[in-house]
Amino acid sequence: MNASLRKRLFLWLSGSILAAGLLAAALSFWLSYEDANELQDAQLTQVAEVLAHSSLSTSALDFTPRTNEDAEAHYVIKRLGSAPPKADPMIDLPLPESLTPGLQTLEQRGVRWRALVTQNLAGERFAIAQRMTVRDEVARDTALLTLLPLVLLVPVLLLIVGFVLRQAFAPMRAMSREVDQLDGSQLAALDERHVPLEALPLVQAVNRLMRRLALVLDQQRRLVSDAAHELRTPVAALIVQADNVQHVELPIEAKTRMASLRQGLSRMSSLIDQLLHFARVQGAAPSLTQRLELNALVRSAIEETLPLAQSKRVDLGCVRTDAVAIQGDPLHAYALVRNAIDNAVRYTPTGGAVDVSVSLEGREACLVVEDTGPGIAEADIERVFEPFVRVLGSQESGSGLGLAIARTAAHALGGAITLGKRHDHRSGLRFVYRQSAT
Amino acid sequence: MRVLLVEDDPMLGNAVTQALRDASYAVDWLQDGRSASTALTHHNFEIVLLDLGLPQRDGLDVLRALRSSGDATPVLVITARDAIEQRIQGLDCGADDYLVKPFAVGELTARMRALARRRAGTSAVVLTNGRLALDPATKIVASGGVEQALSGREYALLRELLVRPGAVLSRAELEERIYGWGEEVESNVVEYIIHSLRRKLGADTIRNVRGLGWMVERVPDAGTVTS
Repeated sequence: MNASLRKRLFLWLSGSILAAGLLAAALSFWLSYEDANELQDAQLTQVAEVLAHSSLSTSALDFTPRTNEDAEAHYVIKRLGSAPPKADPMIDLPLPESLTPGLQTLEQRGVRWRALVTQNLAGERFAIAQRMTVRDEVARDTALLTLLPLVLLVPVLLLIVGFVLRQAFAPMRAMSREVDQLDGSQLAALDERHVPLEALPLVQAVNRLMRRLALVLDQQRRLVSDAAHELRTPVAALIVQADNVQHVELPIEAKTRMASLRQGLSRMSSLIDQLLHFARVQGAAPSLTQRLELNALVRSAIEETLPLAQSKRVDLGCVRTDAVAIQGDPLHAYALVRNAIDNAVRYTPTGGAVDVSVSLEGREACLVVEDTGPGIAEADIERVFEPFVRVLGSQESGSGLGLAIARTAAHALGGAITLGKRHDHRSGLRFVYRQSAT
Repeated sequence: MRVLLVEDDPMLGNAVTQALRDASYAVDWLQDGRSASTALTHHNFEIVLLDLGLPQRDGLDVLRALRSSGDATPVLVITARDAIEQRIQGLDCGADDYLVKPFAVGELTARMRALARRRAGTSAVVLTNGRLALDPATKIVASGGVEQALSGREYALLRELLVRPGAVLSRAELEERIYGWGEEVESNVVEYIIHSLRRKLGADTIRNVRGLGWMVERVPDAGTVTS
């Protein structure tokens, strides 16, 4: 399992923020709660002191609020001992003489009170008390208010962490996209400029690997190209020798055998040409881009394929020739069109037809080549683009490189090839190439 | 006709020598650049067939030295390299023509004849695809030993097709070339002219390419018809 660095960072950071936030909240709640209670005790003490030092009659000590409004919140001020019960049960609190002076918490009939027992100047002992529920409520409210900034801050912090992580990992994502877009034939070094310092060694190592790979690929391409060039001289010698034999009087039997020998030689020679094209299409730097009329390319390719088509009595022609231009290297574009048409003619049986069409679909230039050959089974469609792969049962002696060349060229041009069935349900292959038009 | 063949590969050298002797050329075959240069300074050849990748002295070097000494002997470069830059380089160094390996004997001898004609100053103005030969001076077309006169429009159309045998010309292109400025184009005139040309010269002399236009085939062993 590959752990996501970003996910891990996010989980740890947000976990820590949440834990710290909770701890801070608990502490702050508890401290302000205690504070509020102390404050209320101090208030109780002050009121008691005011009462003790005043020369008010003791009846003031038996003060009963006039209104019943929020009676629960009132202080109860009462002489200890024999005082008559208060009219309002909410503030009624029996206080025995035995209470010790000072602050204390009392419990009477299930209600908890905070009481201060003291005496006035006259030596009368009295108590001032308040319901604990009221005090607790005040303390809780105060404490909860102190939590508000924290509650607001934590989500904001989490958002910021998420955003910062996203930003920090953006160069990595951009780079993977860059790597994804590289195809095997063009190994360009990754852009090191915006890479974070921590990731730089990795990127540099990847770039060194790419350079080595590019070198190997280049050597391989050159080997193919050199080998094909070297083969040309002996093949030329063989072809010339075979031609020379024709000038000698030969028995009929020998003449037919010579004909098949010559056929083999010409096949070998076209295979060498295709190998060279393949190496060239793979190696060409796509820098020579220019505006290309698709129709002109199709026409040249048809002109070059006509002799083959005529020798097989295949009806090669165009069904649509819209004026459409593409941008690209002429070498790639011509290799693509030529091989698409050549391949179609090759795999079409005698008496069949190959239809070429050039059209503009939306903003895309579209080249369609349809033949009446056996077509390609869906399962084989990916495979036929590989060099030298021939579909089982095919009788044709092509080079096995046509579609590989076409696809390499399509990659370089920035277009895409799709192979499929004909739309009219006849047997045959439908080759479609799309590239944005200019 | 005396020919110098410079080719280092023994197999190809042997085969080409044999082919040229069969075609009644007098062939001298050398296998390296230095002896080729020496031979060229001391003897006269009508045509030089020069391979580029030679031992001791590169083919392009031999060619450059030959041209800088003022020798205008026609040189046909034979090479395995066909990258466009290399072709241009060869022509810039003074090659008269370029042949890429592998080649058929017919193609080699046709090009040699063309070079010889050009040198003799009797460069053929006759247009040919190997089967038809059209003489612009007389507007007479020869086909299989039979000569026929053509009308003005028939001549104009066939001429356009024979300028580059194997190339397809569309109806619009043909109309544009056989009509002058401001002339009104009659409908189906191209089909009509082609029909009459086919009647005179045979149905398959002019081929229709569906959806594109018409062409005359390039017969591979060009050169059997000469001026």
